[in-house]
Formats: sequence, C-alpha cells, structure tokens
Amino acid sequence: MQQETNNANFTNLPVDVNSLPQLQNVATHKVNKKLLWVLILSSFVTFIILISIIVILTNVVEQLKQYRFISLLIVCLIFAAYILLIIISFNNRSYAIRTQDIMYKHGILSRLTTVIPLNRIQHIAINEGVFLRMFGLAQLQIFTAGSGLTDLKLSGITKEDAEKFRELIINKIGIK
Amino acid sequence: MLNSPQRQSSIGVIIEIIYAGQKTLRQFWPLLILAFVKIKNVNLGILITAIILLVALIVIYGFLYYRNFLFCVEDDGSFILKRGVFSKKKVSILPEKIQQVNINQSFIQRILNVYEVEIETAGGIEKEVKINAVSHNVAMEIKTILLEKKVESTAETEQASFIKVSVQQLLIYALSSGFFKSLWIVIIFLLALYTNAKNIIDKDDQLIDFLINKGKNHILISAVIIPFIAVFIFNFLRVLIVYFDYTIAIANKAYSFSYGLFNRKDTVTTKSKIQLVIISQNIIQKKINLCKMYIRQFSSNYLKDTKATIHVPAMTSQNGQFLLQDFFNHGLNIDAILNASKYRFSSNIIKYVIVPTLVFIFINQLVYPINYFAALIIIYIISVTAILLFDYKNYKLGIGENIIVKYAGVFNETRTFIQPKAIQAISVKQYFWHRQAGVLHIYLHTAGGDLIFKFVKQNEILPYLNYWLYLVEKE
Repeated sequence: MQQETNNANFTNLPVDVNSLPQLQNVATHKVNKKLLWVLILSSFVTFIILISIIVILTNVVEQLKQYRFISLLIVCLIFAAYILLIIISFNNRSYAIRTQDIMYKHGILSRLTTVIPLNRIQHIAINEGVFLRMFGLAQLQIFTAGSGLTDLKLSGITKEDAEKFRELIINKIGIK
Repeated sequence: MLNSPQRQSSIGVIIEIIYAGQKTLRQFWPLLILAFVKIKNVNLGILITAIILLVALIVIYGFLYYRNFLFCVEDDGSFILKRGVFSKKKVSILPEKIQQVNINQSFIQRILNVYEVEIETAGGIEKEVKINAVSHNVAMEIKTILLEKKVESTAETEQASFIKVSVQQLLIYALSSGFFKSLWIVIIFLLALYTNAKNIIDKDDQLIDFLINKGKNHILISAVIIPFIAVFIFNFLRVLIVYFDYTIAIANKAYSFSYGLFNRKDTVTTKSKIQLVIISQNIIQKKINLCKMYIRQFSSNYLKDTKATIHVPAMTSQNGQFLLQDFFNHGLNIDAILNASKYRFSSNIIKYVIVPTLVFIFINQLVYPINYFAALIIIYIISVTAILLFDYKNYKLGIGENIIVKYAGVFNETRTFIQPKAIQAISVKQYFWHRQAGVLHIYLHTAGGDLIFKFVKQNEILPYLNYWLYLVEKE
C-alpha cells in the first residue's frame, strides 16, 4: 500500500486504489454531430411557443401592449445565448461503455458525469423522438432501482448503435 | 387453518357496511349538498323513504361484500383473495412478490377490536390488497405465514428487543422541534398585529406611546405568550396522536415500528431493505440527548412513495446509535474524513451575503436616499457570515470501509448514512468555474434517496468514487 500524506488514502483496504480503473481517465466517445441539430430544433420549438404566447397575450390584453417589444427582445436574447451555450457545450457530451459500467457526460453550464454499474440496471428502453428520428438517431434510456434522478438518458447515438448497445448490456447482465 | 377459503371476522359485516357508507358519501357528497341546498319544499315522506332506501342499499351491499370476500393462503405460500359484489375479482399473489405485510387499526376498527391486514407487493401492481376486519390472532397468523418465506425471522419472534418512546420524550420532542417553528409563527403573528394596529391607530408615535404607557403587560401576554403556548399545545397534540406509544421491535434481521393513538400503524422492514438513514438533532435536542431518525427503504420511487420513509420522532442518542449499529452490522467505523473545499464558504457568502446586501442597498437607495438600515445590514452580514462559517466547519464526509456519512447543519445537525454497496449510480457535477479549482459536487444514488455532497476536492474524492464503483461492480 502506498503512503500518502493527506487523509485521502485507504488505510485498511485490501486493494490498491490507484490500480483500480480510473473514472477520470476513461476514453469517451463523442456523441453523433447530428444531435446538435436535434437540440437546436427542439429548443426552437419552445422558442416559437414562447414568442406566440407573448404575441397573443400582448394583443389580447390592452395593458400589456407596451411590453411587447421589450419582452420579445429579452426572449430572443435568451434564446440566442442558449443556442450559443448548446453549441459551446456540445463537445462535453460524450459516453463510454466499459466492461462493468456505462458512463455519460453532458451539461450546459456544468458538466454532469453519471456512471451506472451494469449490474445495477433494471431495464433499458430506446426512445425515438420526432426530431431524433428525423436524423436517424435514438435515445438509450437506462433505469436503475430508485427514482428518476438516477436514470441515464443517452441521446445522440444512431438507432443501430442504440440497438447494439442494448443487446450488449442485456447479454452481459442477463435481464429479459 | 388459513389454507381453506374463509371470511373475515363476523363483526367485519359492520366494518364493510360502514366502509360502503363512507365510500358512497365520498362519491356523492357534492350531489347530496346540492340536493340539500336546492330542493326547498320537499315531501318529508319521500325524503325519509329515499334515505331509508339508500341506507338499505348500503347495508345490502356491505353485507354482500362481506359474504363474497374470501381469502386464503395456499400451501406454497401464495395469497388468494376473492371479492366483489357486481363484478367479482380474484387476486393471487406469489410469495416472492410479497414485500411487506402491515397490520393497521383505524378508529372504527379499534372500537370493534378488529385489525386490517394490508399486503404490499413488489412493483405495486395490485394497489388494494387489504383485509378489513380480522381478529388479532388471524392477522398475526397471516403475517407470519406470508413473511415466513420472505424473512427467516420477523420482528415478532421471541428474542426481539424493544425500544419505546415515552410520552415524556414525545413532549420534549414537540417542545424542542416546534420551538423554531413556533417562534416564526409568533413573529409573523406579531408583524401582522403591528401592521393592523398601525392602520387602526394611524400613527407610529401614538402606537409606541400606547404600547409603552398603557398596554405593555397585556400586549406582551396576549401577543407573545398565548400564541406561543397555543402553537406548542397544538403541535404536542398532533405529535401525541400520530406517534403515541411508539415501539420499535428489533429481531434478528427485521424491525417493526408501531405507533399511533387512534390509528395504529405497524410497519415492518428488514435490514436488507434499509438504504439510507438520517439522524438529526437540533441544538436543544442535542443538549437533552434526544435525536430523531428517518429510515428510507428500498423503493422504486422514494419521492412519491410515502410509505418508504419510516420516521422515528424521538429517542435517546444512545438508542439512535444502537439502531444505527444494528442496521449497518456494526460497520460504522470511519477511516477518513473529507472536509468541504473553501469554495463552499465563498460561494455561500456570495449567495447569502453579498448578493442580498447589494440588492438591499440598491432598493434602499431607490426608496429612502438616507441610509436608515445601515445597522441592520451590518448585523445581517455578521450573523449570516458566522452561520456560514459554522456551516462550512460542520460540512464533512466521513468514509469507512462499509459506511459513508455526511455531516451537515448548524442549528440542526444531521448525519446521513449509506452503505457503499447500496449505491445504484454515481453522478459527478462540475460547473465550469469550478474546474480550475478542482471542486466537484457528488451524488451517490441509492434506491432510498441520494447522498449529495457539494464542494468536495476532486483529487480527494476521485479515488473513493473509483473504489465504490469497484465494490459495486465486483459483486
């Protein structure tokens, strides 16, 4: 057992921690570039809905008319910033399937890395949203016991890859 | 005895009739109120006939429901239930699907001295598997037979030991936990009173004058002490009704928690189902050596599943420690303690001191150009900074071979325990402005909730994350 000065070493553990697979050094795959279009398109839909709500409201309610221009401007600015963030943060989206676990990194202002050990998986689903299908993509959804917070939703892989990964994981852990 | 189809205890007829009546009332009450309000000059004879007819229908329905309600436990341990009046239904539950058997008693059941047996299944596909009225012996027999195949020993075995919560402890709990709550309510009450009085008396000076000269003692008594006592008594009664005679039975691998004054609740859990345990003490409770505990069980959705959390309102710290040791097989030894990074303190200072102060000053400048509240701001800054400093000092992660503990809280100290083997998934979050500093938030997900530790140093925690993953994956 190697000695370290800080208290971050395990004193009575039978394994050498540094010889374990390192989470921080996992080589990850980038997601499919087409996902960027899916993300932009789906946020665009939200944007259109917001814009139309504002236009309708400011037309119907007399008192709100004066705020129409400023609110449209704010929504446009927020949308532009959001799209910019999506583009910038797109490179952070990546995933890895290791022999014992599956890992997904994503996030816009933060980088969220979720790791699920394969033997903790309860079931797997493949979701094809409208936009995802347009680009031949799919979302692999992985569920563990526990609440929705632990679910891993891996977007941005092709339909074939999603099927392949599902087969792979199911074979490994033997769930039906 | 239970292997042939049988009815509930004969007094169950009354229970079923009452329940049928309750159900009817619950479904038709808007109609009844409408009828009561709208129909003015009604023939009394018709009204009475209608009521008698309705009651007769309910009685017949309840009676038929009782007659048709049959249950039995087959030799292989599966539970069969047949019920229904108009449409008959047969439910059969395999022994491996049975999660828990709860024995409860509502107020009516208590009067008639019968018990309700509720069977919880995995996945919760069958919601209503309930027997409404059986004697205590039958209830216990059903429970033991059904759980025999599940657990080697239920909490009712002979070598069980007990922890009881006394009325005195409940009183202290109500007093100490309600203290801050009551304080807030009284402050809000006083503020409301003040604004109202101001409206009535019109001028500040006059009000102050009035307070000082005339009503000083009366105001103090009526505005501070009475609401305080009222809030406390209400709180105590609530606690007493819900948690009266709280008994924890500890057997080999199972625990049973039973409590309640009118509605007696009985929940059984097993060691393997316990995922996450929270123990907390506020400063008053700490002084008098009392703590409370939340036990979160394995659940497919712990956020919505209220039954998944067991709450022990009060017990001595020693009993709390004893239960913890028992839950985690005496594996509470901690080898290392990780402190939060200083970023926790500085980011809290920004969030709770700098931003509110700037906002306050900005608004203050707009409203009153002269700085009225400078002293108030200074008091706020000093006290909040002190609290945040304690928060930072108390926020720690303890790590042992079989346990992970999060310590947190200033006025209310909490400890959250999970076992590494209970981890379902691990998430790590890093904001881009924390990347340079190497600070992370970690989320250890279990099937009973998450242990979240924020602002931990990356190089300190990563070896542990790798190790926990290794532990889970090598299973």
